[in-house]
Amino acid sequence: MKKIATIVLTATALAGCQTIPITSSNPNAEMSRTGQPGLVSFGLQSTDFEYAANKAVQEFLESPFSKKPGGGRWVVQMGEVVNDTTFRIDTASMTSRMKIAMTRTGQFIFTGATGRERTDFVADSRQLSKSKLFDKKTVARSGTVIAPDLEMLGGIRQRTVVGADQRQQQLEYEFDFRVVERDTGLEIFQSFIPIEKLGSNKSFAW
Amino acid sequence: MKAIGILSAAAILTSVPAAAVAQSGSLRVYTCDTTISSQPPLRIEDEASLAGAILEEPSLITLPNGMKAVQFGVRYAKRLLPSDRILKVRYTVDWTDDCGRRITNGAKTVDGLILNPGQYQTVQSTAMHADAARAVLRIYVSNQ
Repeated sequence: MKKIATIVLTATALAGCQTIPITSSNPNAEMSRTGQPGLVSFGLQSTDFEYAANKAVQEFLESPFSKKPGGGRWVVQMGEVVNDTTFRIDTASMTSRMKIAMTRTGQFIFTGATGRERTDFVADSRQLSKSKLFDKKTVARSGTVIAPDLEMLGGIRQRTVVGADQRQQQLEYEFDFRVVERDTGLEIFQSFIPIEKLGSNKSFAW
Repeated sequence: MKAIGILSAAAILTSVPAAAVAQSGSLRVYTCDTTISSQPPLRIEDEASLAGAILEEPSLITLPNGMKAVQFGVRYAKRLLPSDRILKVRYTVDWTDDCGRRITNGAKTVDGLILNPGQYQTVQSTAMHADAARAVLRIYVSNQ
């Protein structure tokens, strides 16, 4: 009888210690590619980037500005994407997904000649014409690089909210992206995708 | 008078090709290498209504910029009101072109909304490609 009482008391004590699972407003949070149930963490996961990128592109495609007046594709320059969270994240996890989806619509093409994702390749190729090593017919000509029409830039922000009883915390993420048109300087589009994660105040993502 | 006649004839002749171009610009011509899909433009697989999230007025619309979108409403069922349950509604929209070819763009994701007791929400899910013409809407409640 004493043993049973001890077991019941231990079980009750352990039940009190169990942590609250983390729940996310991202409907894909528990999706997994491993065949095992997916883990949900307070940090940003690939499912969060995928969800936010899809939503942002979808919203942009709903906008009347997603079609270039007169036809053709918008040439887009990637601008600065600020990571304003407490985590060290590579913003390319988000921007690459957006770029892939936007390019596949056939309405946008990204430039590697200007902006934050500029490569030296375009400018360096122009220097090759000065070298005697290269066949002049095969080097890049001047005046052929296409200027961007749009710049896409944004930020990822985070806020932490702790419950009054200190038991639960909620992490709120904001994926904020905007697109500026070159000629008019007008911001032709902005998307704002929030993701919230709620769980025990004892669980930390860092 | 003769000059007016010549001018009007020239105007008619020049306007014909312009009209043809304008018309061809608005037409979408498809060459299907498979049998054209005989399915309706919008198909629905509704598992949500029985679970308490009643699907209302699903429709396939064309946005002013030519993109297709699926619109629908979800209403919290009155019979669930005493339970005070919050419903996690999930949905996917799969798009195909007029030939029935599947259009995939971006990662495969599920979309969703939280339906509180007594609540009604409208949703619009836009295709991520201009060729998308037909849609399959699958909707369900995940917290069973």
